[in-house]
Amino acid sequence: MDLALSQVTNISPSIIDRDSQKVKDTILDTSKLSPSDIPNEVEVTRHDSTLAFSLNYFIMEGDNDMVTKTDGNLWELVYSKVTGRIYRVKYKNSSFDSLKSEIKLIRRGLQKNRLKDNLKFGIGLIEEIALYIQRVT
Amino acid sequence: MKKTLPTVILSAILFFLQNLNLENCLNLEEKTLSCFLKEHFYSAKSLYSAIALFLFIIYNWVIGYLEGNKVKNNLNDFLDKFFEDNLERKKENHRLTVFQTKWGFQIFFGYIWHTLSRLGYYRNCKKIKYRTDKTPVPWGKYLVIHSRCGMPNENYKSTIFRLYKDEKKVNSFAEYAYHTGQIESEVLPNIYELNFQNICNLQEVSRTNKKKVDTYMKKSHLRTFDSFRMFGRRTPYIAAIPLFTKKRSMNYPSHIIMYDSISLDFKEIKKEMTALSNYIQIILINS
Repeated sequence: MDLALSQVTNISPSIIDRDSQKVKDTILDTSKLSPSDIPNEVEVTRHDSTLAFSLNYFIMEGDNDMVTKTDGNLWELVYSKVTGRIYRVKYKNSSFDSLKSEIKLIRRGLQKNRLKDNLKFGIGLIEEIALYIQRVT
Repeated sequence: MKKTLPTVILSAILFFLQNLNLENCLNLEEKTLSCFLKEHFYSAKSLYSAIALFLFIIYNWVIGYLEGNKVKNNLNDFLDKFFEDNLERKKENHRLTVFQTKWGFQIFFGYIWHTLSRLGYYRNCKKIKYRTDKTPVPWGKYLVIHSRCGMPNENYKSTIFRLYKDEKKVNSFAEYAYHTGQIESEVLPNIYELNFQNICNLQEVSRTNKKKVDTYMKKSHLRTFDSFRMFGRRTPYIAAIPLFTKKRSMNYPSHIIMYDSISLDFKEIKKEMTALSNYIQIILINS
């Protein structure tokens, strides 16, 4: 299943307002992200209880910058160590929390805000899309 | 096609000159035209290779220049349209500048030429020392203006910012955004109407405005008062949007879109600016 960002509720980058505390927790924060770091296409595949996401950007990075992390068969995460962009994620439904806590740990070890924000945005986007898929199926 | 054909022609010429042999012509008593030409080319084949290479480089430089100008013109038209649709054509109030990163050797001669041609102006403004101090070094990296829409200095695009790897050396808002790689915006104290032409350092600023100037410099990441003085206009609303259009250097942006305005906060126009930067990004990627 391919999803344009505008198809998924609350993910249009233009409606985000960083100063509005009410919406901060529920809407993805893109106020600081460079337009280059917002994916233009998200490809979603579902097989039984496993969801796989592939995030495409206008300019993709080379494989040398990618870091792959995995927790056995529970989840797999591919992100860029240069930009913090998430490129691929695969997880079983029950293991999303474990994936999120791993991303929290990764973010804690980073210095640059861009990397932190991109990781946060990436996992937030994936969560929103997963919720959307649950709602419509 | 514009570059492939000349490359093929150059390769063919060099191949021909490299493999030229006069075996069949040496024993002939009456030389044919082809033998005469062969001998002629053989005797000066290094010269002809050098001429072919030189013409090839000149051709590529001209094509590159013309194509670069085409992109700049397209982008200028695009920014003009944006002004018309979203900023009520108020070019005296708002300004949009697209900066691009370049090496010092690419801009060195242009900078010198610009300074010499406007020597009188810089002398009147007492900015000659600043200009000479800021002369680009060929091995340094710089942010230079790619295209600009809005006043002042719409047509004088000589502003450059040196980019250091050390974040502590940041000396402008554009450089700051270059290092963060994120959209940055600030609302600064309103000192738009104050004149700093005859003031040489921060101590000479009147007590009432000193704090404002100090805050302005801190918030816009200016380290020196000279840089502050150099600005054509000191606007209260500024923002920078970095764009990453080169695959191999994703840790630093290749272009930065600067927004500065005397009346409109960036937050109010952020939605349109983000859309604009998306389009500009696509133009730059495909150029």
